[in-house]
Amino acid sequence: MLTIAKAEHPHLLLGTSPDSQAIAELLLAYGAFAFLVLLIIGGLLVVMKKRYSSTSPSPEPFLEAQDEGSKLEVGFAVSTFLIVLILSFFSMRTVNKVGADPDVPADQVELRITGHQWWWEIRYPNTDVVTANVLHIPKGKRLLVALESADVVHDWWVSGLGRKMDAIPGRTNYFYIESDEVGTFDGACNEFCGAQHAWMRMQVVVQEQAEFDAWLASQAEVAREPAEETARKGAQLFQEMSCATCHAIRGTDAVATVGPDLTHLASREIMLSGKVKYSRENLKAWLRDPQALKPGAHMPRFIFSEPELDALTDYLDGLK
Amino acid sequence: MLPPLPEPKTSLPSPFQRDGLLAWLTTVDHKMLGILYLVMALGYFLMGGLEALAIRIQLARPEQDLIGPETFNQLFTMHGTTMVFLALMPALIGFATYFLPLMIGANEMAFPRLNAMSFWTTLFGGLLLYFSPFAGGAPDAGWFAYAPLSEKNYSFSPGLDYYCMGLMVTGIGSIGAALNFFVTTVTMRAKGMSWMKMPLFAWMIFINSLLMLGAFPLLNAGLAMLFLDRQLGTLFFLPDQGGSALLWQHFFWAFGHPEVYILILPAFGIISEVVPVFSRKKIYGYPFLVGSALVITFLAFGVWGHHLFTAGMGKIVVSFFGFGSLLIAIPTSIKLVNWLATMWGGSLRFTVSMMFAFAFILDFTIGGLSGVAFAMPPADWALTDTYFVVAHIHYVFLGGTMFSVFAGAYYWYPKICGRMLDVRLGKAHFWLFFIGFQLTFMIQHVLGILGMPRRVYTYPVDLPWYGSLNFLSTSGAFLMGLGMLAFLWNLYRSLKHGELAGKDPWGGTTLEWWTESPPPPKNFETLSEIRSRDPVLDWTKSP
Repeated sequence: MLTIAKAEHPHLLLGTSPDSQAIAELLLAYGAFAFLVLLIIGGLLVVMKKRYSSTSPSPEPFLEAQDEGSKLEVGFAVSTFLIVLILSFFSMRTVNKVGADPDVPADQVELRITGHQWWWEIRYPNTDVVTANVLHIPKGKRLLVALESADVVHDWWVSGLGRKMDAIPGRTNYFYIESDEVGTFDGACNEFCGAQHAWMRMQVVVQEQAEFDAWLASQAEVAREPAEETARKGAQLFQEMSCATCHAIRGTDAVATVGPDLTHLASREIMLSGKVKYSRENLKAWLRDPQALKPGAHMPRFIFSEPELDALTDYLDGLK
Repeated sequence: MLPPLPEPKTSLPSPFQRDGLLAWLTTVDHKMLGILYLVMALGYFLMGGLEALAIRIQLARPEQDLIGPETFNQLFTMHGTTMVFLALMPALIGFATYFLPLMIGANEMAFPRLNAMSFWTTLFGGLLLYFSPFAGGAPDAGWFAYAPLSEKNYSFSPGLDYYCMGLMVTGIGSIGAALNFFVTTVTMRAKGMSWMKMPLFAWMIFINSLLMLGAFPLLNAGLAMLFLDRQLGTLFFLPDQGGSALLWQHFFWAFGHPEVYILILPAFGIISEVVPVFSRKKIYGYPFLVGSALVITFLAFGVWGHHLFTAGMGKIVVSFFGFGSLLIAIPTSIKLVNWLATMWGGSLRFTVSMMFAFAFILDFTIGGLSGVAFAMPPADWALTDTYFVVAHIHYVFLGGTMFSVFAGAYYWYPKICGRMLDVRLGKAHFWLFFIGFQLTFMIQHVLGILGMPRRVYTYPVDLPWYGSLNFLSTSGAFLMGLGMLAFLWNLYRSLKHGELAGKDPWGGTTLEWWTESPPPPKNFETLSEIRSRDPVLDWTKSP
């Protein structure tokens, strides 16, 4: 249904949003300055090594006292202070452009993202859509995100699409996300959050507005009823085997929000926050033994029988 | 000036003879305690280094599972905690314990027994921390142990309880040492040594003691709260029951940022001793080196907020902390200018100690410049918690502090042991370590810019450059390991076979070079009045 562009890996210096570009400009300008300073100091060290190296076997007598250097030092301090002022000016200008103040009107929020150990819950507040780990946004729109955490401190960061922001339990942080290009962008949790911090990655799919609207509409639908026999058995198992204690599948009795919403699980390109690509095989391996695939993950091992595994996999794999 | 306190005429009584194990266990002599501190620091540095090698092995290739995530998280937590609290600080405190009294012409520290207590509490605090793996698991929430990940419901092994207890105990030791340095410097300087005639190392230790006395109570308060949360069910850092997760970050970094300067001011002191001696020139701009350290100390307590730039503070708050942090660049770069100006026009003697000092200046410049990036909030919003931070902290802590410790080790080993370290082994150590260091950490700047988060136990196989850069980074770590082997062999071998050092092998000018090598139990029988900052120079010219 959707054409997903080849995943791009933008880095800090290539922004596709105005915010990221502003940050990248600051970084590049400062980087050039820092490199110059390094060249000067490194150059001085090399020159002194060449010019002043002594070969005498015993220490030379000490050179007599020189002036305390007040003029040079004061002049240097003043010029460093000017550099600090310049850096501050550009830094604050970018803060003003990129930063979101803590007090933002809640009705402007277009996305609610919640960090969990070790996955991202994504909600579109004006719709029923709930998804996990793969965020879809329309191109060229500056979206206000409300970021929260369900457990420990996480940090949302998709380079190129804006700043990074901590998800801290007990408070809501706000930031903007935006992209001027369509494509798929990789991101990762940047604050250490426990055993599987490494696999708390996410994908942002940037689409043209029409494409995005179509996606949103398809995600707003409730889960489709399974047609086949095994899948129907899987649906029954899902409710019976305490899967529904943690997971929600809209349109069924499963409404829990502890684990990821599975209503359209099979429409996502990645599973387990980027640990593996989504596939029937990976899904089955996960249901068989979660710890083997993602050690430390909170999903319990249920010790399903082989037919039960097939039934559940059939059911979940049908949730497009 | 205060009247001098009575000083012991002979070494303080020990129930056993001066040699042998019992003498070391019962000593209150500042030189023996200094050696104990240095040996302890070396032991923990090797431990932390092995942990680092294990980390680098796991990260050498993408999606490896040589070391699982739980073990990996314990390894990097222990690595960071060990290096900061048990290797770097004790190394600096060790040099200070040994040389502060010598450099100011005193025969002992002001409180010899407190000195012994400080050492033993630091050692046992570290051992307590290292007991945790035998008690069910090492701490696994990183060296800054962010709540609520460090709380019982997310980290249920007793590791973090040992972290709290261990660090509180070492913290008590650090406060004892700081108090001792402070009082010793104020009350025990030799006749004629006014404040502005004090060696710069003594100045830095004195200023550092102010930092420690201000910062460690904050850490211990935070640790006590965390420990109460974990053990008695209080709710300081548990937001769902009314506590605040952010509060921990404020406590930790209100300590943690001064801690950064606690680790670098004594390093500045060592470099300020080594550079003039091996440039054969008196230090340039002495009052500015002292003044800038005082300014750093003042600013250090007001910039912790830059560790929280992504925590959701408002624009004005981040701008305030950003500006304050940028200001620190001024006193710091003044120091750099002073060392360069001291060397300019001198006769540079590239002993191993001077080589490390030279490399320190280069590394510290890089670490300082990358640090300034974190003082600009928007840059921080891109770079923080990536490998860029890992590169930055290692440029200041390893390339900075640890290189100064190596410079100090090669400079002062002849004084402590009476024999010279071998130059060829020393140069092997320097080049292996220097090249390995640059290879490991220069590359991590790039990894950070490419977006690799820190503290990950592995990374996806399909990200461009990640695999090869990490592999290079790991190979550099092994070069550093080889360098350490050369250093260890050198330390051991030179103890017996090194060339005899004599009183003053380097042509040093401060008081420690006036006494024997190694110094007798009573450092100085008599000292004439100090007339300048370079008493040895005065007395050798006109006794």
